[in-house]
Amino acid sequence: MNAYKLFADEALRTYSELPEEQNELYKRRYVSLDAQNMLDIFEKNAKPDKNEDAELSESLKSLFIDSRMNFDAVIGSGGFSINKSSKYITIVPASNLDKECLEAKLHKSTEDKLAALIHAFTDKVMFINIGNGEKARLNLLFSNNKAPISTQIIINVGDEADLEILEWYASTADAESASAFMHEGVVGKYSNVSIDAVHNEGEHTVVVGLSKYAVGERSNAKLNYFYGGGSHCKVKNYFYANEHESSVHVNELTFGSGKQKFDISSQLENRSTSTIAELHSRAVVMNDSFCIMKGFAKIPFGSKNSRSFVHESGMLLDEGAAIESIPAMSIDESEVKATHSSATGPIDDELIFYLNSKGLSEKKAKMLVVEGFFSGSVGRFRNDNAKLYIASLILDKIERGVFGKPVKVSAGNIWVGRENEEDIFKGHYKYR
Amino acid sequence: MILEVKDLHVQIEGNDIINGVNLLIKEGETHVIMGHNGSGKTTLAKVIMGYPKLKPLSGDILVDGNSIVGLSADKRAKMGLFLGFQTPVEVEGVGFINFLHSAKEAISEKVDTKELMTEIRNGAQNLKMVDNLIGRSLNQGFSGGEKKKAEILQMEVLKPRIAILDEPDSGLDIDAVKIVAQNINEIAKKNKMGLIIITHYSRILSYMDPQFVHVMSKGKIVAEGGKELINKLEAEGYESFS
Repeated sequence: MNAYKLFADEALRTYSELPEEQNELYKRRYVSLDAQNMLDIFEKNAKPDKNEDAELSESLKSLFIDSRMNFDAVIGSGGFSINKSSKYITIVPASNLDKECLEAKLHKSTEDKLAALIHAFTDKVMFINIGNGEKARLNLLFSNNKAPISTQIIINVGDEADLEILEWYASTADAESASAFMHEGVVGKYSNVSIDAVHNEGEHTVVVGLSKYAVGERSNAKLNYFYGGGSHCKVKNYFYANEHESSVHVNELTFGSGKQKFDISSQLENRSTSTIAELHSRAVVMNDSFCIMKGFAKIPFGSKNSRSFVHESGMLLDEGAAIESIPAMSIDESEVKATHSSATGPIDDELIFYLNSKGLSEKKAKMLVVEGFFSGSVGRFRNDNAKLYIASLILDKIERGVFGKPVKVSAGNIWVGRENEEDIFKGHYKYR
Repeated sequence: MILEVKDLHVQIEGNDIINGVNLLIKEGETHVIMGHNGSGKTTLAKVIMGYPKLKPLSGDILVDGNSIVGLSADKRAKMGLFLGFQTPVEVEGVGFINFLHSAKEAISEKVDTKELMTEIRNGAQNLKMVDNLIGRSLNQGFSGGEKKKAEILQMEVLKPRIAILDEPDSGLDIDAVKIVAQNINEIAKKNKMGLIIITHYSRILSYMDPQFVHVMSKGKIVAEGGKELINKLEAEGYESFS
């Protein structure tokens, strides 16, 4: 329970104490979580509900109208429910694992307050093991419909393997709830990994996440995240292009409405020679919503011939909405290409008038502009179901301002085909 | 449709930009508004279309006798007005066809997608637009000339009753001016459309047959006449009309 106390002691300071996160702006600007409230949510409600699986399968039908998805694992308050045909997933009670080992592998409670919270309330750990040469596609559903959830997932991908994971985070909980998750992924040599994560938690849910991925020699990881749910969403992701010629491509979309608050932190590091680490982060906020984008890239000495890119852009739909975009880089190696950029502003009046003058109402014009703004990022998602679902969530949010509810799947005007690779350095200042 | 501008006055930051303009345009007529830079031509076009930042100080804009001053731009578009922009705005990620489909859907009750696609394809061919242009995002990466052609294509698809084309010839090469002018003529004739062409130059007008020419200076119409006024302007310049 030390970890428990670590989180509870400092009600408003939930940033990491990790040495690499010493950016003063990051420390000052963050979405604060009421620690006592978070602990109350978990303590009062974290009772496994054995009947949840049946109820979940019912709610899934409404949550995923038209998508006809099958899930390899459903993670709810009742624990993990695994499709028996899925040979890649195993569940181990946290009590059977060496606590110190687990903390070292994931995040240490003493270094990160979010980690302390998740470690304190996770009772089972999911392992996903993809052996050498194996190919797997997994669909995972995380639902805090009935009670808060705290999950830890450890992903091991061997050499020359191929893994595609689709993660759905959903809930329609109408009481205060929480969805906390912690991921660790290690990718071997010559492998490809793609993870698409869609967050559509309900308006009473606090979302807390910590992830860490290390990519091996000549392997490629594509990580796509859509954050659209939860009252508060505080996520910290670490991505390491760990070995020679490895690459990490991170694509984040955040769409806030109502009084939603997002604190999305992504740290990239080129840890070896000829590596690529890039982050595209886009946010749209409406009503009184708020989003902080913290994209940080590090190129340590010795990572010659590497490339790094951090791009953050945001759009404000209403006067009450705000975005703080804080891209940063730390470059110790001179033989690299690296660039960062940031652009945030209100929706352009001229643009709206242009569309109005062609017959589109202001609402429809805004919808088109937002869809267009997100279109390229949605196109980067690998899974077509995820693309369609995100497009539907975006439409629903603009039209009705709602989230965390079932949606009728419709792509609207968002192009859901593959996005062409583009020159990320085009038009940007380059460090060489 | 009859569009009437009555003694219109518009100020921007306390300065008179439109200073008592009167115009009467009927469907099927072609009007030209000429004038030097800053004479108020573009402001007039935007005010007629309902640009929210430019509210008339006094005067009125009427369509078929009813004031449209209180109406938003989209409502004016639905009534049959169209503005071809001098500098069309680039819209990231919104496909040209998707946009046209949405606009057509907003203006017409029913849209036959197949017919619409054929119309867009034929229109683009007539305007000699680059093949892949209509598959791209709206105006994004278009050259100045391509943007102007795209405006004309929009006009063809949306079929307004009166279209205001703000400098449809700027940024176009000699051949493109001719192509654009011919297309404007054909589209207007086919749809019995009223036209207001705003331009600085007479070249595009040599391919057209305007019945009315208005010269603007300092926010006023200072001269009106037929096509002969264009020759006078060519010979004497705008100075003599100031």
